Amino acid sequence: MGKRILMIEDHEDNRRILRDLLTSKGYDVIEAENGIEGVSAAETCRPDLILMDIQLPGIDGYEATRRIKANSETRKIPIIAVTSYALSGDDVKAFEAGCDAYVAKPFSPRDVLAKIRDHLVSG
Amino acid sequence: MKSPPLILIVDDNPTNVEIFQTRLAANNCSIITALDGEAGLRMAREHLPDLILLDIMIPKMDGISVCRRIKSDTSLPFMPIIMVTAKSESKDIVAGLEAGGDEYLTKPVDHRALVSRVKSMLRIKELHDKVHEQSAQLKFQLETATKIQTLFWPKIPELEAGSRIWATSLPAAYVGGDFYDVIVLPDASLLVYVADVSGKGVPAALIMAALSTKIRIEAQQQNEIDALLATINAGTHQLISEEGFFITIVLGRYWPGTGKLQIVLGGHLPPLWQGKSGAHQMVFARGMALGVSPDSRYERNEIRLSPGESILFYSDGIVEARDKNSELFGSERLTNIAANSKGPPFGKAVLESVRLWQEGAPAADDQTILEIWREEKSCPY
Repeated sequence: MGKRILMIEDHEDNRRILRDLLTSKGYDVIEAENGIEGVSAAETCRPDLILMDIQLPGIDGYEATRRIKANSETRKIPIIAVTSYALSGDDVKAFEAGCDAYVAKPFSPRDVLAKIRDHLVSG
Repeated sequence: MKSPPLILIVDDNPTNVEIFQTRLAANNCSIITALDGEAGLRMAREHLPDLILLDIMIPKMDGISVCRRIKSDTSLPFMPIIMVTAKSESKDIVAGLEAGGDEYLTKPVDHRALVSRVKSMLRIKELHDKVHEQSAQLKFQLETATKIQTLFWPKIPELEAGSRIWATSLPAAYVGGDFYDVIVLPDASLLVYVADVSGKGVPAALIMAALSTKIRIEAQQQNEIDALLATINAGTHQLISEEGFFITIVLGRYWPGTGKLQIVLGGHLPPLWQGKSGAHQMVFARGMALGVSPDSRYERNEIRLSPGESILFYSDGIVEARDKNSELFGSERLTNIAANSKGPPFGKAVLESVRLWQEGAPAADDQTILEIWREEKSCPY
C-alpha cells in the first residue's frame, strides 16, 4: 500500500490539484477541510505525512500543528506547513508550532513532491 | 404609423374596391388601391401602407404569393395583411395564414366585421411600431454605453527591465461586467487586476464603474494588496450584495524592475504562470469574492517573474467558452497553449484559440485577459 498523506486544506480547488498529483504518484490521500477535522483525522488515520494549510477556518494550522505534536501518538508524523507568504514570518511561526518544513503559496504541486519524499524517508 | 392610417386595397373587382374604400374612408383612413397582384406588390413597396387588404384570387400574381413576398422581405417594415377570400374556399384561408397573412375576411364581406378587423390590425401595427422604435432607442443607448465603457480601459504604461503588460476585454453583450485596470502607484510599482461582476449588461457595467473608481481612490491610500482588497470589500459589500451581485477579482502588485509580483484572489480563478519549468496549475492562497461577507480577509501570494516568464490573469469567460456542441474550452486547453508556446506573450494566442473554439456559438460571457511578462534578454553580439 502507498504511503498515506493527510491534506488539511479548506479550498476544494486546491485539494483537487494536490489530490490529482499525489494519487497519480501512488500516494493514498485523505482530506480534511478544517483544523479540528485535521487533528481528528491525524489521530484516527495515522497518516505518514501531513500537508497543513495555515489559514484555515476555526483553529488555524499553527494550532492544529501544536495539538498534533502535543499528542504522543501523532507527534512523530512529519508536518509540512503550507503558508501564504513566507517573507512575513509565517515560516518562523510554522517551525515554532512544530512543523518540520514549509512551502509558500503559490506553489506547483510538483515542487512539493521532493519535500514530501524527503520527509517520508527521514520519518 | 401614418396619420391618418394608410390602407392598400388589392382587388380586381372595382365594385368591391369601392365598397371597401367608402367604408374605410368613413372611418378616417387614407386609401390606395391596386387591381392586380403585381401592382399590389409594387405599391406596398412604394407606399409602405399601415395595412393591406389582399384578395386571393387576383390576376398577374395571386394574393398568397404577394403576401409571401411582402412577409419574407426583411427590408420592409411590419405591414399587417388581411386576406380576403370566398367563404367556400377554406383551404385558401389556411394557405393565406401560412404565407404570413395576419387575419382573414370572407366574401361577401360583413361591413361591421371589416371595420372591426381593420381597427384591430391597426392597433397591432401601432404597438409593433412602438416596440420597434423603443428597441432602436435602446440599441442606440447601449451602443453609446459601450463606447463610454471603453474610456475606462487604462492606457498601459511603458515599463522598465523588459517588463510588458497587455490586456483586453471582450463583452458578450453591448456592455460588459468584466473589467481590468493598471494603476501606477507612487513607488512605481503597478496595481493590476481583472474582475468580473456577476451578471452582464448595463447593471453589471454600472457596478463595474463604481468599483473601478473605488479601487483607484483606495489604492492611493493603501498599497498592501491584501489589506486593500479587504478595505474595498468592506466599503462596497453593502452596495454589491444588496443588489444581489458579487464580484470576483484577481489583484496583483507588480514591480517591473525586479519582476516581483504579489497576488490576492477574491473568489477569482487563479492566474496561469508560465515559468521556466513550464505552465501548470498551482496551489494559490484564495479568499472570498467581494460582496459575500463584509469582513472577508485576504492572503497574499508572491512570485517573481524572471525574463522569459509570463503570468496570465483571465476571467471565467475564457475557460467557460463553449463550442457548438456545448463543450467547455477548459483550463487544461488554456494550460497547454501556455506550455506549448515558445515564450511569452501568449495571451493573444489564447484569445485566438478561444475564438476558434466557439466559432458558430455565441459568446455567453465576457472574456478578459491581462498578461504580464518579461522579455528574454538576448545577447547583443
